[in-house]
Amino acid sequence: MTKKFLFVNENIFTFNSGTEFSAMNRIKLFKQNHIDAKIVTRNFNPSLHQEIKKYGLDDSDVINMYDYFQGEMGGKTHHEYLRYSNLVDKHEFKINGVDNNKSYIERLGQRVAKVSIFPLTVGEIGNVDYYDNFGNVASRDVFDYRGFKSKEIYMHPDGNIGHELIFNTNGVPVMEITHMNVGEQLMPTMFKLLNYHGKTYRFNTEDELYTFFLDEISDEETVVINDRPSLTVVVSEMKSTNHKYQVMHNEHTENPAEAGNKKAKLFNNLIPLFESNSDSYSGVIVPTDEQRNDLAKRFHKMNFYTIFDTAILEMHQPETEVTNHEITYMGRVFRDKNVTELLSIIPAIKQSVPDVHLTMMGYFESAQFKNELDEIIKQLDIKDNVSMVDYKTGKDKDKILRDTRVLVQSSKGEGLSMALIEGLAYGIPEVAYDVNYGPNQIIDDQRNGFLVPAGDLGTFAGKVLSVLNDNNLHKTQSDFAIVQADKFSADNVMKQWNEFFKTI
Amino acid sequence: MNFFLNSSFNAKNSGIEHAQLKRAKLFEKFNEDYRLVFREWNPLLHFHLNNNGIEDKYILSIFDYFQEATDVKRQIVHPKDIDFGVDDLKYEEEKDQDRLIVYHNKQIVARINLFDKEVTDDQIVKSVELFDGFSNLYRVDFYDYRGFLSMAQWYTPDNKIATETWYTPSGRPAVEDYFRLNAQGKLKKSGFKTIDKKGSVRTYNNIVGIIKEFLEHVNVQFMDENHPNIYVMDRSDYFEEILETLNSPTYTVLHLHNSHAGDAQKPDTSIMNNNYEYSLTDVNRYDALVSATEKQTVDVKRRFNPSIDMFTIPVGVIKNEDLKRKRVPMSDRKKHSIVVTARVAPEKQINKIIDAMGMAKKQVPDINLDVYGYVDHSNDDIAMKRINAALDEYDLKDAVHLHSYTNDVAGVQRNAQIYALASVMEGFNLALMEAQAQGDVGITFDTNYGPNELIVNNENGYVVEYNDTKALSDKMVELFTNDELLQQMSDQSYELSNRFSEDSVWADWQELINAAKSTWHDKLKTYHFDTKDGLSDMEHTEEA
Repeated sequence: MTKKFLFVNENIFTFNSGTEFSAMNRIKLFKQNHIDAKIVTRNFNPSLHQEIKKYGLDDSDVINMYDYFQGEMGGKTHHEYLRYSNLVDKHEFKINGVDNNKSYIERLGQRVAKVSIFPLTVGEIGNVDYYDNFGNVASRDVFDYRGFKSKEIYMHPDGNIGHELIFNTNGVPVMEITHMNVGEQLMPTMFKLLNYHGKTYRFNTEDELYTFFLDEISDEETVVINDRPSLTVVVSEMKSTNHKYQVMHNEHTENPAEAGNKKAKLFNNLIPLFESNSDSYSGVIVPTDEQRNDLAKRFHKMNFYTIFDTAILEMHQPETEVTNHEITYMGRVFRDKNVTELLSIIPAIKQSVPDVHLTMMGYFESAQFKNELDEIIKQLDIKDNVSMVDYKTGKDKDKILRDTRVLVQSSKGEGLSMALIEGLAYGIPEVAYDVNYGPNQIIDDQRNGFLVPAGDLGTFAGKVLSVLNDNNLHKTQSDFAIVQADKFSADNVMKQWNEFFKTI
Repeated sequence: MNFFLNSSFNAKNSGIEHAQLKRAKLFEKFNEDYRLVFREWNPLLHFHLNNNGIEDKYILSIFDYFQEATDVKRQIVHPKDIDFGVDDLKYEEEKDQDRLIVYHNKQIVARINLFDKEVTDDQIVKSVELFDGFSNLYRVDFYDYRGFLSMAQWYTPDNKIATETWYTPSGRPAVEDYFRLNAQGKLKKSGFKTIDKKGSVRTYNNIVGIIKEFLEHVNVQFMDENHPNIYVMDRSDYFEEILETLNSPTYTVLHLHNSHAGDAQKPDTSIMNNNYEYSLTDVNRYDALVSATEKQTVDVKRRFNPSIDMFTIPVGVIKNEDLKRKRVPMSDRKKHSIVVTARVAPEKQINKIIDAMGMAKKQVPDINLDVYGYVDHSNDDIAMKRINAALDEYDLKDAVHLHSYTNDVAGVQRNAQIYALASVMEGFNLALMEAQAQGDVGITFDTNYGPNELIVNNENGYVVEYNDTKALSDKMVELFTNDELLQQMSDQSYELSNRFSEDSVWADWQELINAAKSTWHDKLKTYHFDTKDGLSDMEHTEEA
């Protein structure tokens, strides 16, 4: 097969959701199988090449749109240390190092700039805010993790962003972004590509530019796999290739219980895929046969494929039996994940297992939502039984999973549930609501955990309790989890992909 | 290097710029290198200077320096050369406005403004107003006449300038300034920033900081133990403050182009000329003072008693070929003619020359006057009002001809007999010097400085008592009723013009340069270049 694959996404964030994890998992799977594939990202992100390292990706696995136009596709080879940077003319200006995170630039007692050190580096330049005579931040340099000035942001007099220049490493702008009013609303109104192969291109939105960019890096042999419903239109407007596929990572109806109902209301962000832009897609890849069947019944003209949206690339069999009373929830800590129900089962469990402990690991919807959860924890008097920990990756995450006795999930709708699949690799018994779609693919009821009818809190608590209390049950379920993991092995998921490749 | 400091150079200039041009040509003739330094950004700077015979290599504009645009090969930018990044454009010309409107699907993309007809008949882009896809004017680009985008003004949603950016010809932002609300809520320029080739960013409170940065760098760049860096402040604004405090050695020269005293007729006591108040107060912080006339040098010395070098160097130079030109006898010129080549401005008091003519008219009925020069309409057109009143009073409408500026000054002077002056004050008066080189007989009030030195009383004309119009009139009669006297004085005009020959003026400059040289080695002895050792990163090695 000579096709090359592009996995279209918005960004690799500091805090990622299943959408990004799935794409990152897929790129590793394809690489193992020597298939040419890249993740393509749209957003300007000075930390991109720092972030992807946390997930074991190579710089060459990701093509970012801004990197491409800046002509800086590689990884980090340079460290721009503030104290040694040309940025500061030290004959005239003094660097006043305040702490590890920031320094001031001063001249004759006047503070002229503030340098924020790039996060997780020692003394490398991050952002530089330049002050005017009146104390305003008039402009801001944004340095890339790779040690060059990547962007300059110029403020409007009211402090809002005015315009932005994106630079190549010679300091020449390759792109301009303006922020002006549309109606009464200040927003980006122009993305202008400068001197790109000798020509200028003006776009009204970043997405129009993204389509242009995707066409630049694609040809008719390119297979575009879009992971983001928000980018459905962007991909559909590409002209260079006809091989366009959308991957779904979630259920498709607002009410997951109604997913099989042909009339049920679709999520708004799926309307382009299934209605306005459906013609331009060769197919839709969903993680489960159930979802494929439901969609195929509803959208007769479209092609649907089943491919698990994550593969287990590495097993982490427990070396010793986990005998603690640790319950873990891993995933976005968002309202739509129904996480408050997890808190409400704790008091009941606590009655028979006083040292039960729930760890909620993931990034929070908002500070406000975190406060709400704190308030509930206080009311339920379970402060000592619950920890809310931030998003973790790598070793930190690994450590928590190794020490988990039961993995729980109370969401009312899923695409497949990557967290539960990850739990299999660690041999963790799992308790989850039996919802569309996924948990019943991963949990073989009673053998590696329990499926509970959605909303049945009492049963949920009872099942968790039974695994906590019963070492034998835990052991049997844990052993079977390892067996069950094979269903999602790299080989098995690759088989699904290979079936799909035959249809392209 | 010899630096001549000024603010700008335009189509119309004053005597200071003319003096600089003459000096520039003199230095070129004697193979002494120089730079004309300009502190204001001006897209037509090279155009105007080139038109006056100054090559790019002698032009050192401060903005050019930061913009890396000192040496740019000219390109022609026509409206269709501007790439808006939008297809299917329609260009609508607005001939009377010198501009084109650019549309895409009836939506405005840009307005392209062209350089004026006075500059070029070709359609060459001067500025471009740019609109985004939502019809917001977001930016206005200004092009240098040499054919590159020089400066962009970035607009706010409510149509005010927020940021200005100056670019290198390769498109790299090099200088920026900002507009922000001050404590009174008014939008004001609130700071400058430069970015150099190496990525060093420097901030400044205002334009003075940028000029200082420029001078600090240029002075080191041109440092040469055999050639002192001489800075001649022809317009001293800003330079006068910076040159006192430069880190590296200089030889700084305050050049007076005008009276040091507010009332030039009271040079010892009247309040100081505001233009020179700062620099003369600090006069001993410079190395030398130049004035254009001996009389002023004496007056300055008497009043301020400076301890620095003082030189008298004429600001006018008469080329050898002009001195050798065949003389035109008075009989071959327009009979009883007076000429004035000057701005028609209140301080020139041309109305008093007309008054004098009026009084002389009885004895010299065919007395006539030709005035060549732009009219200064300031102060409610007071200059023209006074002239018209004088014309009415003496019924001289037919005898006085007011022309606009002429490009053939020498030609009109060569055809006249008397060059008359009634100015309130002068710095030198190049026009009079040029008229004398054409054999015109000069008459003037005893006006400081220039007229009363260029005209040597009873030799090449007459210097009458200050503001004595009747006396001026008497001298007109005297000259126009005595052909022999008129011719004699004309001969002397030619003769005394040798005072301003190239050799003579160059000798004066050489004196100054030699004075600078004699102190230069001492200055260098105590100066040390910045160290370059031990400053670079020796802790980290890069993994290439």
